[in-house]
Amino acid sequence: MGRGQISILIITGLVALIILSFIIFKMYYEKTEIITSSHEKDYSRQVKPVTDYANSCLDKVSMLAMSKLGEQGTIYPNVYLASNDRKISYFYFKKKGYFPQKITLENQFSEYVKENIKTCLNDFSDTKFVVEDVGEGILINSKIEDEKIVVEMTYPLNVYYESKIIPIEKFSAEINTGFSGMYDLSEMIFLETEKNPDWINLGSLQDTKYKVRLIKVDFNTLVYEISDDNGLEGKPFKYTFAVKYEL
Amino acid sequence: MKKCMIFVLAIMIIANVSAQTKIEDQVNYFFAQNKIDMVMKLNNVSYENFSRLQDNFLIIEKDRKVLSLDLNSFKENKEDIAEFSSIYRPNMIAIDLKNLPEISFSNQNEIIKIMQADDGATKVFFGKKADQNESFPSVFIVEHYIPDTIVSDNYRLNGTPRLTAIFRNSPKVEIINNGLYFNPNTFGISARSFFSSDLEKSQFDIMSEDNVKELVGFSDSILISTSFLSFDYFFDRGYKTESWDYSKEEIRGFDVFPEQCSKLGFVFLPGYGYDFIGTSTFTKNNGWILGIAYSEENKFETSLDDMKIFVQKSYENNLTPIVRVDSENLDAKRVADFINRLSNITEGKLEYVQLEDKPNLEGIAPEDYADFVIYIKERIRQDIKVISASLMPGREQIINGKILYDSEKYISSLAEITDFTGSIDYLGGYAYDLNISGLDCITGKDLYSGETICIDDITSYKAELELFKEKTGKSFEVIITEAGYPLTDANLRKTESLLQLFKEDKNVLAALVYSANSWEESPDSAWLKEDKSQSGFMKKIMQDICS
Repeated sequence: MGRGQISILIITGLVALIILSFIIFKMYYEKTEIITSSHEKDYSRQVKPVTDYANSCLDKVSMLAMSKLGEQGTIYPNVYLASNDRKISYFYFKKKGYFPQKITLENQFSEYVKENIKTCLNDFSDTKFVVEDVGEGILINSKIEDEKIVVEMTYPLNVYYESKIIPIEKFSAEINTGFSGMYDLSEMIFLETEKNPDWINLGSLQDTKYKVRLIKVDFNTLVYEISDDNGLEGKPFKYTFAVKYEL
Repeated sequence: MKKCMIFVLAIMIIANVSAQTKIEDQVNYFFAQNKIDMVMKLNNVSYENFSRLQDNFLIIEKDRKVLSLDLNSFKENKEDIAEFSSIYRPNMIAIDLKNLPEISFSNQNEIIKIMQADDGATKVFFGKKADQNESFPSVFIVEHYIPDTIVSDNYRLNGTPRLTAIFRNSPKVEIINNGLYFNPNTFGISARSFFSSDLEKSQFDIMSEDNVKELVGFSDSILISTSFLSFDYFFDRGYKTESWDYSKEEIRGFDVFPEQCSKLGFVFLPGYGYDFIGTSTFTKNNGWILGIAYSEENKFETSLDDMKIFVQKSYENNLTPIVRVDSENLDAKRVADFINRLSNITEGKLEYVQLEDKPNLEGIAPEDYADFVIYIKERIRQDIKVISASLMPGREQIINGKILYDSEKYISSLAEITDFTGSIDYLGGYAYDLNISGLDCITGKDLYSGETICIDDITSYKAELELFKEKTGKSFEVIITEAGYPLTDANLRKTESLLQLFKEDKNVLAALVYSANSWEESPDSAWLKEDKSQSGFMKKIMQDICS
């Protein structure tokens, strides 16, 4: 056998080895994934009470966030009217606009949920499961859509079930609310105020389905209350904010 | 109450001079397309009047006599059409239906009737063109009516007058009712008129092409809702409406906005040390700090040393120091000497001095205090700002042979003395005054009588400023040298409100909280702790109004 033939044989062997390794790797990888997927499917039913519990907490805390948002205009007001039990956000104050962008409200919503979800979860002590916080923290993503607010929570947990550890991490809640329309109206009111800070523009209220209450607070401050009788899960909801007019 | 009382009316029209067909268009727009059959019962009238649009005239028939209203000129030819300029706007006229129990409009084979329940209760107002060269506004205002049907709306049950305004292509029309000023061109209400108007029990409808904006007034608010035009006999206004289940919620509060609390500061009592960092933290830099010095012989030097450090450290911590100099027996020479020496040893850093505290409580006559101030001002560095003593609010009394002067009379006397008002740069003031109403009361001890009184009325400094302006023609600023209440949760909101008010009041140059360190004298009023930590009360205040 000549040197050339040996070389070809070696190269062929190497190529075959690489191909074989690739096939084995691929087979192994796919098998593992299927197994993992299969396990998740099997055990997701078993740990469903935990998932349901977390989802219901997410729902409860999201409703609290909505309540806060409705009462205050923003969840964490920066410029506000400090009333007895709440801080009503100014959207226009001393010739400056403080109208919150939708993404700001979404971020505040997420922050509120993140701050309060653990209290509601109460270490899952209300469930019959042992649930371990993996320690990777909680990630909340909130999205204000036309007729609802979608809240997604990523919270890596290990659920102990029959000597096994079942990892779960995705939870979600949907709040049916017409908040988006009320927000749009508040933006219109804000823009009109910014344009003419000495006029209360009824034009911006002309084609809405909402009731709007204008409450005198002092000699130049109005609190707007936009109401929808079916605004939050079929129940009444108010979106409140304040405007200080330039007289 | 009689159920079937009556009712309403309404209308008005106006159109462009150049396009008289628009008059009909506007009537059509309001009535015809909605298939109205508003035949209303009449209370005590057995005849009808018919009206129609003919050319450019609104024809009203009564007892076979024809009244006509020229919509172009608005020249009425009958006394039934009266000027209401004295009551409403000069550019408005109205038809008073006192002699017209019913009018009807004929339009597209339909008869639209408008009737009144009580004589004089119903008026049809017409907007009048603002200028000869401008278009007629299409404004429709209907006032009054008593519902023909049973309604649950208390306002209408009680027959409260209601104003209906219909706007369309209406430039420069002012409609004033209950003090509200509408601009139909922009569909706006003047904010100024809104805040000053009497909204109680007022109701307005603003109609556009396909909906009605209802405005229902309460004592401090207006509720606006939309009804879509849907003429219906069973509703008292010809369109569907709602009754309001309105629960009153009063909103009161104070403004919080991102501004440093640089107007604020602390009063430190001598002998307990100063917390410059604590003060600086509270005011977010550039705040104020007040120290108290004594000029009498046995305390002079010690106090001078104390104040030297006080002034220097204040500057190092970005605080503006105020040195209050107390004297014994109004020894003006000693006080002037103290100030000059302090100014020298602090290398000109001394900028603000306050001369005495509560002289009216010390039995010092206002004339004597004025002389004291005038003397000192003439003998100190002229760029040192002099703050007059803050006065203790209270009525004149004689206790143990010492006169306690009425603070109002005292300040009034001082304001009369021209040399005095020319010698001070700022008025000193207190945040306290007697709360005679006793409502929402924070209590304190009356230094005159020793009785417990309400002290949270803060109008005294404002009254003093007004008085000084009136007497001198000059606007003074005030430095509040004692603000704050006992540090209890119940006082938190009130204190925040107070400090916020000072932050916003452009007449207040600075407001100093009493006190930072009264640990022995008044421990429940000490904002700083002896261990230099912040009280929870202070933290909350900082978070709420200094963030």
